[in-house]
Amino acid sequence: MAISLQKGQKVDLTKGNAGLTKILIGLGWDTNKYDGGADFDLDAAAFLLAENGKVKSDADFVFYSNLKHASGAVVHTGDNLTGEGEGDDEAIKVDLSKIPADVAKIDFTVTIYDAEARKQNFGMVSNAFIRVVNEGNGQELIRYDLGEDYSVETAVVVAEIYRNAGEWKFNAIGSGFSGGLRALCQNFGVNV
Amino acid sequence: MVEIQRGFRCKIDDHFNSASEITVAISVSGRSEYDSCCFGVDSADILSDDSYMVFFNQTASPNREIVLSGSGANTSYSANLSKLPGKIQKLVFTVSIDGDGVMSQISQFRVKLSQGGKSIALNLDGSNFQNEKAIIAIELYKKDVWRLNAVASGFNGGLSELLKHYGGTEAAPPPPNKPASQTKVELRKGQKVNLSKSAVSGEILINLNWTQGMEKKGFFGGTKTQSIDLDLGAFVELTDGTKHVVQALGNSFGSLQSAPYVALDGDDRSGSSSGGENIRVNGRQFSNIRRMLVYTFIYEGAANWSQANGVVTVKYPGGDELAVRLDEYSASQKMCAIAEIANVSGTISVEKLIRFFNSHPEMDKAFGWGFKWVSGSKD
Repeated sequence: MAISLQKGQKVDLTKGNAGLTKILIGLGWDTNKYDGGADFDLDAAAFLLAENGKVKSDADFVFYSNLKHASGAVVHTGDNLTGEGEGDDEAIKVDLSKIPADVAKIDFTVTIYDAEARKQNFGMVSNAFIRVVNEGNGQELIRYDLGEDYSVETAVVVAEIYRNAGEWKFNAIGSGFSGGLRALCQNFGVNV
Repeated sequence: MVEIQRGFRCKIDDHFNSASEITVAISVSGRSEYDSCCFGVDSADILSDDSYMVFFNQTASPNREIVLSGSGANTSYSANLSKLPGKIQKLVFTVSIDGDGVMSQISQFRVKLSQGGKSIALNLDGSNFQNEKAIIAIELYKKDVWRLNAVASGFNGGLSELLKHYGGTEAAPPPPNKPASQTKVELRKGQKVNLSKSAVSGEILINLNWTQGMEKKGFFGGTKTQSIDLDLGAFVELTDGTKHVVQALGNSFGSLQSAPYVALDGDDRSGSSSGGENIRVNGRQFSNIRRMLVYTFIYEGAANWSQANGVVTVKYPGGDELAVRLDEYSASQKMCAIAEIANVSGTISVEKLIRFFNSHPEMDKAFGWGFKWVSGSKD
């Protein structure tokens, strides 16, 4: 059974899950149950960060235009333009064994595409979640429901996995930002 | 004053005290007629208790947790969140357009929440909307604690689509304040009762009473200023095989003393007559009657049964009273077959039908009467 996390909670990912290397990060959300307004397009992304909290190069930013990291450790399974349907809306596959040694953590984010022009924000998004699945057996290991704490933000750092004493841990961050993906990129040192 | 934008969420206690009364004032200006309504829904977003739908015709919830004041384009609610029963997990404050117009045509839309000297305000105009005819202004909802979401989004289909969103249908929240009389028998469709076991004497009275929508009874039609003329009629077949139509249309008022022994006492054109329209059956001549089909139809106005607020009752001295409320139905056809009254070995059998049709011929055909039909007018 999956561990359900609260905002700010940190749990072991690999410790106690011997042999776990391939995980799937599933992200989901519900939007747009009303008429009128523009369509919602939410995007999941991953930032592979060094110890200093910045990317080493722009190639460490995995998103809809750069689906696969050069190491093969992080693969975005593709852009979902509508967010329709149950379950994961977008997914990112991570092979823990292939993550370069100089990557200390990977942050997973969800942003609203073109939010400013479309006058959209996370107050209009509901039931957002992130879950970590063992790709080997399909078992859900960790789940974090983001809840009701988002308002006029247009970007959310949902969670991160980070190295700790030779193991990987999971941190349910859940921090909202304004300024969308651009602001996150600037925060993580990606040139935009 | 805190100005917020669409999508804004917060915990109520970040700004107010959720244990005390909060005022929600909603104002709209524009060229249409606007109505506001508050739905108190359960954790599944379903309006499971109609008494927690607060609108112009029901201005307070059962324990006055939600009280509406003002009307139309300027409506204000007082909400006592902490006094709501546990089943009510969300208050949805809506604005809908009655009649023509869409939300993009409004000039101003303002929702102001206030308590004491503090307030939160959402100000929008027509540029924030498109073809919506009903919108959720804000939601106050409970997820661990009471929260606010400035939804300001809605549905092109108007209030009926909004109702569907909350699990209702147009007919589902029946108009309140209409307790059934103890003496009336509500028949389910297809159920038959013998109103009398003995031979019939005296008079059988079939009454149609209805009121116009002037009191804004109907929330669901958008035609409350349009007049409706609801008529009562009957097909009568005598034991000699002759068939008669009794109705105001075509001036076929019938007769009590001669065939068909059934008569309509008048024509209420506006719904204002307190006694309504009556069809009387001469009980002493009931042995000459084989069967009757009682029906009502909308002679003028849209097929808006919920608005016409009609009740058909069938009374027999010493017997029970059968009552059929037409506003429980939301058919688009203008004609409704109410009941079939049959002479079964000298006793009256009444079967409730409630089947809707587009015309006299269509209904005639469905029940096998075989009249020849030409169009008529009362004028």
